[in-house]
Amino acid sequence: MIEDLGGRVLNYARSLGFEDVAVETLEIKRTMVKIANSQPSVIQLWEGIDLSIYLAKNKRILVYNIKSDSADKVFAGVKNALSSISRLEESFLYAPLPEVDEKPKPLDGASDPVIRELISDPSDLTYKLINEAHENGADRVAGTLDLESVKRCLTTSTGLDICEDTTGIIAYMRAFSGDNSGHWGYASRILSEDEILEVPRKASEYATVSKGNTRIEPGRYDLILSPLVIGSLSNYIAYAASGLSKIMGVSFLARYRIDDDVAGEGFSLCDDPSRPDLYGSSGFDSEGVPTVRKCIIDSGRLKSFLHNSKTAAFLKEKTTGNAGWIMPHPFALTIGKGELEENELIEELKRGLIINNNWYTRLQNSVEGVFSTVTRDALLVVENGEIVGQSKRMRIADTFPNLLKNIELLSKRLYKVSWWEISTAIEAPYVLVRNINITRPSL
Amino acid sequence: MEDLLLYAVDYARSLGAEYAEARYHRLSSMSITSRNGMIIGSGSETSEGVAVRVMYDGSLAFASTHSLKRSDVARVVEKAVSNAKAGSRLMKLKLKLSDDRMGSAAYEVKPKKSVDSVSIDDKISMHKDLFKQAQKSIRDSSVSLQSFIFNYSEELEEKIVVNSDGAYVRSATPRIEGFINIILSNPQKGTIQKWFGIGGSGGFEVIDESNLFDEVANTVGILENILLRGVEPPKDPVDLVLGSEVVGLIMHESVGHPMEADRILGREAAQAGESYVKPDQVGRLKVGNEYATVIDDPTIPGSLGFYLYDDEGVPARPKYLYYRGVLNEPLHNRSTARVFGTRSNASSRAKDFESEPIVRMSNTYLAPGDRSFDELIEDIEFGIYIKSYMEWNIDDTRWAQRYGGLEAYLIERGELTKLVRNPVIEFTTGWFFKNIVATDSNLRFYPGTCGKGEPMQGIPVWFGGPNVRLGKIKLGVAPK
Repeated sequence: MIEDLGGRVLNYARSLGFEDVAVETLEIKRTMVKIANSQPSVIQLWEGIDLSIYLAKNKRILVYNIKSDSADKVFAGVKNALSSISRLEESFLYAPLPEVDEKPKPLDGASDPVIRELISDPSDLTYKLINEAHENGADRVAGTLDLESVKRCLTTSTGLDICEDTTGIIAYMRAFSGDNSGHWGYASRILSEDEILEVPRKASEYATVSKGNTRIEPGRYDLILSPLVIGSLSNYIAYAASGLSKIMGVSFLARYRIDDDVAGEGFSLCDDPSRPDLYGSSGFDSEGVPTVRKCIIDSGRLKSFLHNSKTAAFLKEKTTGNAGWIMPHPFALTIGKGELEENELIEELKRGLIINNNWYTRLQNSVEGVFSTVTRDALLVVENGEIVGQSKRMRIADTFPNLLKNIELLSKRLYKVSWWEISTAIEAPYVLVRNINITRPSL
Repeated sequence: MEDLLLYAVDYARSLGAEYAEARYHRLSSMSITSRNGMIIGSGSETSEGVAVRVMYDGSLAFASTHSLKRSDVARVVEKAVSNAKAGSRLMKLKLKLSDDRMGSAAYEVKPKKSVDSVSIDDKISMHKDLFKQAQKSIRDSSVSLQSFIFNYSEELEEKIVVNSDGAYVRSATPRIEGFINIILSNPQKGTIQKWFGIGGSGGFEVIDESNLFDEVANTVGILENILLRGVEPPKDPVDLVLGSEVVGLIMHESVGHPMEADRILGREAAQAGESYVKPDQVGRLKVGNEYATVIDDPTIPGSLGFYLYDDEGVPARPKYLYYRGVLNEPLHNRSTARVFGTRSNASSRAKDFESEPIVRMSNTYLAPGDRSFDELIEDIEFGIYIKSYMEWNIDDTRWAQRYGGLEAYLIERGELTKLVRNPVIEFTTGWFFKNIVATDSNLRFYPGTCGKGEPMQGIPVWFGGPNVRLGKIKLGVAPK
């Protein structure tokens, strides 16, 4: 059904005189179970069609979004756009939709029949997740189980007409034990029961660390950041690598040139839309350009910004297949693995803190990358390579350039994680970073 | 439309739902974004559909559809009831609703100046003129305007809410918002950045009455002065005075959020977090002094968080979250009110038709005092006035918080003197409310988009307060 709708909208827009047109339609089936106090607080279901329509005429740009399967309503919106766009002025970012040499292919193997089945009734899996948390020591648990099946179609005035079927599962849980809590997340296009049951297990494991409270004074510390923490902070790095962030003058990466050393040499942050198991992956971007794996940072060196055809043209680069018609974005992030087991990483830390989770990252200055973020859930104190105590709710208050340069070691095992603070899902290890500023209120 | 919604409610009841609610919700919006006065493009959006919420044996389910066809609405009603039934076997503590007076009303916010009466040409000119205003406000040739980003947006929200307890509420609320990002740079001093905005319900008068051009000129001038002449924060503890922008944010973050009853009861524990407030402390625990009266009021005309009935059909009113330092009244929907043995205070709102209504703030502020600003600082020998911020965050129980000051001045012998660059304050909610020395009468509100819920729902709010004088604090400084 939506394949037809995209074509009809495209033809209608062209008949009105729009020169560049792209219609992206999403047919979505999605269920989310929200868990609080170890029981569902609400079960939510969405079935709908989202249309995003890119329209350009005489280098003027308008993007129209509508949730509808009614051609009449969509046509009315497109017609209205015609009167608006004629009053706009030329966009300084305008570039024609790209003609691609190689037609993109939809991603194979990114749709899981088990997830499609679970959308109809997620109650058994919900029960398993809650039960697993309790069996691993949690007093109570909160979280969500989010399941989706999406058909995404793209029709463009450059002749592309392509559809892709994907599924997705995101689960995160916060386990509580007395005054302590632990958090873990999971995101994938393909369900692995072992990996999803690790979510309540690891959340409970962190919640039930039975060490005494230790007061940590503000100062500089060596840290182990869990995949949730480095995953969250890497989202800020990836968006600073968006070509539009650079053009808008708001990116802390804009000061660097390609091949500059920006991070510890073991650190690689890449966008890999081509892996069907990663949540967010896709075979093509919103301009119809085939997606490819590319590293923003490779072995500590800045390697690439993320571009669509507009930001690429403006900066005299080539598109990296990361459209976003206006804002280039990552699809599915990965951090390269290290060589150490997690316990070996703690031994290497010797003295410092292990941070299970963080939230509320805010920047004082995005150009200089000055930020702070609040730790939450388990905050473990390490002395002589062993966990000896725990603290609560300290802050990392430093700069992204410092953080990146001070990354020293990474763990072998990678985890596919996502939650509120990780808007683009990421596969990440534990990361050891030296000499980072930590604060807390004295009052 | 009413017939379709009543059909959805009746059909859900016929399938066994003990409670059913249907909401038609339409949002239409238009925005224009520019950088350095040059237009990037325009965006417009239409979101329209029906939301259904049902309760079966104490289990709650939500479903939505963009379709306004009876057959499609019937299908999502069936799925919602089916999900509620499936969920009920996992419910140890069954949900119930409080008994509330349901609204039967229709209202709309009438703009003084329709957005359609202002041409797109004029809206584009505003982008260019604001950029020119920023450019000409720079005095020193060593300072450059690295980035000036402006986003203008207009929106109309239309809703009809009906439920099986007799509510019928139709509403229409237009809103206008404008957000500006300014970055100045100097080769020796680095960069300085400020995000700020204006917003309210109504028409283009929100822009006309905002003094946006003066705000831009003033902000650029101050940023330039901070960049060139700002001094390091004092190292010893100093008397602290916070501006209404910072105070408003504190009211939102450390009173509004923790006084959301669903958060107190753990419903948002996974992500948005919990609260320092425990259920049995409400009405009893004193956390602040006599200046600590914090109000959430959705009925303020022209406000960004304006509404007269919530999305459960309950009539809105001002809520005194703190009253003279005591935890007084949490924000309730009908489910949390039932747990607390009270009635809903109409705090249930949904972002759009794809969102369940949850407990939300509207316009949250600290009650002002009766002093002038000069009287507030006249007997301070040495202190700091932090008027605005950039960076801020707070922990997940809403107790320990940090603000990165932007516009800040030394106070010397009762007068504002030098600008201070990047002072940082960290304190607890308890410290703030127990250490208010005085408040002035300059109540001012600021626009924001408040995030909460799963999936995340961003909703328009105001937060505000007067200037506040506090006790002594040791300042930090932003990392370099």
